[in-house]
Amino acid sequence: MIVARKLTKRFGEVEALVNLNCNIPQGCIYGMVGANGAGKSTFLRLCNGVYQPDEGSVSINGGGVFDSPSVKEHCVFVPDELYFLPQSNMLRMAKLYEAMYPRFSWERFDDLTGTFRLDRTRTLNTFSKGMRRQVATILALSSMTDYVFFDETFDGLDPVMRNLVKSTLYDDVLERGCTAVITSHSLRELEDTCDQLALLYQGGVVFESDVQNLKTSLFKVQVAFSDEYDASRFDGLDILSFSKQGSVANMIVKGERDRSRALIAKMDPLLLEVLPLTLEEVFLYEMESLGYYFEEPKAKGGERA
Amino acid sequence: MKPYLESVRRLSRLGLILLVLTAVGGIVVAIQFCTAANQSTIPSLSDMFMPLTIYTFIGGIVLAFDGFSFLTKRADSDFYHSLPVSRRGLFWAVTLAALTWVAATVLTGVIFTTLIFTVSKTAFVPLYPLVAVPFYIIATMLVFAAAAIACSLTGTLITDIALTLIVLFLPRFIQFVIARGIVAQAGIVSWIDLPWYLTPVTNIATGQIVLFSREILRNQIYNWGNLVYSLLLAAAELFAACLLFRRRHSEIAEHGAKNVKMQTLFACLLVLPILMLLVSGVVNITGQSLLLIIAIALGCYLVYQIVVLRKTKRVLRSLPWFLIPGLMTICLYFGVQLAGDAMRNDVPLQQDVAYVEFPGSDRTEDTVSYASYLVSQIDFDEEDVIEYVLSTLRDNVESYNQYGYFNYDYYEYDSNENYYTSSEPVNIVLKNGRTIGRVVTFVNGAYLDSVRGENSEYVEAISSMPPEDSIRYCQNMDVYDENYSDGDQIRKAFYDEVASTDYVPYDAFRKAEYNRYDRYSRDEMQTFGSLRLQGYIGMVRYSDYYSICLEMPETCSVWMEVQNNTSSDEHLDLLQQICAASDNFLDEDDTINVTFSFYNIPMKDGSKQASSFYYSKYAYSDTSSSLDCSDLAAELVELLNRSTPTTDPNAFCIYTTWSGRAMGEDGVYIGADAMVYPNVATDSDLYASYGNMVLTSDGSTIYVGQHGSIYSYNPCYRSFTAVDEARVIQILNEWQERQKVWSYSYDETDDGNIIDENGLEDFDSSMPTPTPTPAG
Repeated sequence: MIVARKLTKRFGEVEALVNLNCNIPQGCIYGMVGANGAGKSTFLRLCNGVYQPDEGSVSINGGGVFDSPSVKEHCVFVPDELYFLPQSNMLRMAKLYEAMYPRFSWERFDDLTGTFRLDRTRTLNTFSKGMRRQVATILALSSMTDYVFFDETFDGLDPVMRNLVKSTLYDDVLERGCTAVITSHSLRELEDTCDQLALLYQGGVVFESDVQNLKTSLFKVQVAFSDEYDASRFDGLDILSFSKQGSVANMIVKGERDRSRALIAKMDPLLLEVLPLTLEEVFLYEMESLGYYFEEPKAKGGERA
Repeated sequence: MKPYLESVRRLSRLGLILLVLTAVGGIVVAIQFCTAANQSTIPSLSDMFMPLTIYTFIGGIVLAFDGFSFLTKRADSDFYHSLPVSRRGLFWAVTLAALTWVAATVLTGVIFTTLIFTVSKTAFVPLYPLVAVPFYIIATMLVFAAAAIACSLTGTLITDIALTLIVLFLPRFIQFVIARGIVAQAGIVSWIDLPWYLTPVTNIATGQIVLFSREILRNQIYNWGNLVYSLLLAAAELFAACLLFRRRHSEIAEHGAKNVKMQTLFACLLVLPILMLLVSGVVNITGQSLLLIIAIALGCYLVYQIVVLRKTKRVLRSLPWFLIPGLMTICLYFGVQLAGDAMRNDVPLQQDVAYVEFPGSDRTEDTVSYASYLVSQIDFDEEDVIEYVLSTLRDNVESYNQYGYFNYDYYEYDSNENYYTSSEPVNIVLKNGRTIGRVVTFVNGAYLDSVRGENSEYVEAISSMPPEDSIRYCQNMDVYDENYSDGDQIRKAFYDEVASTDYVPYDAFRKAEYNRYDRYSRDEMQTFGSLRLQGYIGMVRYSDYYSICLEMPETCSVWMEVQNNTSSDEHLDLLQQICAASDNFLDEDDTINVTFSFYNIPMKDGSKQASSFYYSKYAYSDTSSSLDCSDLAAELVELLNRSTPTTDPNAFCIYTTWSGRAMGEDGVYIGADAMVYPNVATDSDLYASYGNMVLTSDGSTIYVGQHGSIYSYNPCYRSFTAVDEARVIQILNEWQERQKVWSYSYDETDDGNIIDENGLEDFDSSMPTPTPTPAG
């Protein structure tokens, strides 16, 4: 389990993370989403011992990470900017990983290389950006660590490769209880992959939940009544947003879908529709409910923001 | 282990390149040295392994920058710091990998060089390879450590370089400046006499650079004390680098320094060397120079700060920190002045002195004389010696304090005494173990020799010859030379004669009967030749030059015999012909130059003297105002043709060398077959032929200016019949008279007067001692 408590990291006058708290359970695929500069990469680097916290702590399986080989051998990091030895190929890099990670598996490496159909002897300089990300992913997964950290790794992969990686990850999680932490600035990227999601905003985790729970706990209700009504009619429901046009009201409701539907149905509406929300909409409404608003970009004379 | 092996592999690209380049460089240098014509020197350690000196700096810096290259790029830094290796482990993996490559390179270079010297049978000091291995490994790791500290502190290549230079050179530069200031201020303290913490070569890495400007320290750098000190320093710096590496914030990658304070500190360190010029004595402190130095330092400070801080406000805020190097400079300046004065005035009391040592005036030379080496090992605890040394030192100090330099007029001279001045380094060893080293000027060197002569070890030392098995070159030939035996004959005779007499073989230690009116050899002081020996004792290379003078008649005789046996190309008959033709040279380039060197010329005062007479004539020169002794020369040559070789050094004898050419009346050069046309070396050593204008092999034309001549520089010693001898002496008297008439004297002063009016009956000219080299 990864535990972060009051984790703070500053770069000069810039506070990248401020009192961040989170728990990442073992055996899950944990997604972390946030805008640029939210602190995602900083968090991952702290989890991998690249940075030392200024305040607070981050621990993996109860042990501090920074400068601790015994903890770090359970983790492998795939950063946003990849590094390979100069003039090296996949085999050379695999030897480096084998030297560093005690449980590195050549069998896994061979298997994944075959699956992704990559030439192990070709110089990595000649690979495309996407192929290099595949290589980094293969090397990380072949290290057979308990924790794998991907920093915007999937952003450069094509859909076929993304699915391939996803399925490989699932296998690891299911078979070995591996934990994957994936960051991205795109919810859509993470929606299908992760089972836990957290939203990072201005250096802190503002929202964290199970994906399935997120998808089902928030839903849109379209309802219409013949008589005049307002939001107070639905006191028994946890309404995050209420808007009414004419006699039709649109509500964002948080809670059990079936129970909420039954409750509204009892009110004998003219129209009752329960619609699912996209994950983006879920996040937006959750954030609004927490009091976080994204600032509108300023318009430039005549331009629409 | 695995991180170490991985680092070795990672450094292999540059490590191998450097290894190959260093090995090739070592092979080339060694082959050049071993195949050089007329090789007759034993190389110093630095000469033998010169490529390794270069490798010390290039290898140390390149391996450090390559090994820690991941610290200057964010992606690299993130990768390496995320690996399951402790920071300490990562640091030492890189360091030990670098050490592996350094050791391999140094060993390879030393082995190849030693092999070449051994196979080519070229003399070298066997201890040198053994010392070179640890020396260059430690020196390179010192440089590596400095670069490692720099890499641990900053995150860009440029700041890495700047900080490496600061860490490596700044402390030693400050030390050098202080030392220079003290040496300049004290006046009687040599660089070699400074305490170890001020001696620039204790750090064997930077010490190699100091040698370029302070060659006198060349023999001081290669000792075990410096090696141990440097090893400890390298270890300390590596541990410091490791500590900094462990604490390093990896986010520094691609940034110059952690914060504004660090940058300002670097800036202060960068300008310190400029300000330190005021302490060193290199720059005279005047108002103008002071302002100039401060302006340059301030300018550099501002430029650096503008570049790294980028904001004017920050630069201005950092300005007051410039005062810190300024204050340091002021403190150091006055400190150096005081230290220099204190050092100069540090004259111990006699009761505190245990003994004195005389390290030898040649201690700063590339090689020392064997006698100097032996004398330097002697502890003189005689009261007279100590007293004389201390009293002279006191006088030296007072003279410096009064005049600012050693003033000979400070002393009162006894006109009845023969004085000769000698400046000698002296180590005064106190009873508490402290050593005070000074360069003392002894006005009465003869007295010094006499009090030292009370020490039996000293007497034995100055009479000792180098052990035979230590000799590597005799008469500039090594033991494998086919003509070595000729020189060895002379050596054996010299050794036997020294052993059987109380003759002091070293010119410097022999009690000279100095007479300032004597400008040439007289009686036993007549010198026939010399014995040149070179060898080594342990790490010490010695080179000795012994005059073979008439005081050693047996050796002189052997010298003459060897010379006579190996002589060639005397061409006395041709000399006679050319001499005759010199009255009326037919070709404008005809010349003749003859040196008649005589021994045992009987003088009117009963002594016997050696002297030379020179006869020169050129076809193109106006001889009307010059000494015309052509008739005397011609007769002398005629008598010479009747002389016979001799090996009796006590006999009146002659040794003649000459060169010349003359066109015969038949249009053919006299002795054309014997004429030699020396090669003319151009910058590219192209082929050249004789004549004024020549065509070289690349088609260009050069003016040679040098023509074929008969050269005779390897003659016999010759003596005359009694009748001829008498005539020769008459000729010499006549020659001398003509010299006086024409004021033809080598001692002539600017106003044309002969210096020595008392020497009317003596010969005025000094005689160059012929030192023929046996043919080989």
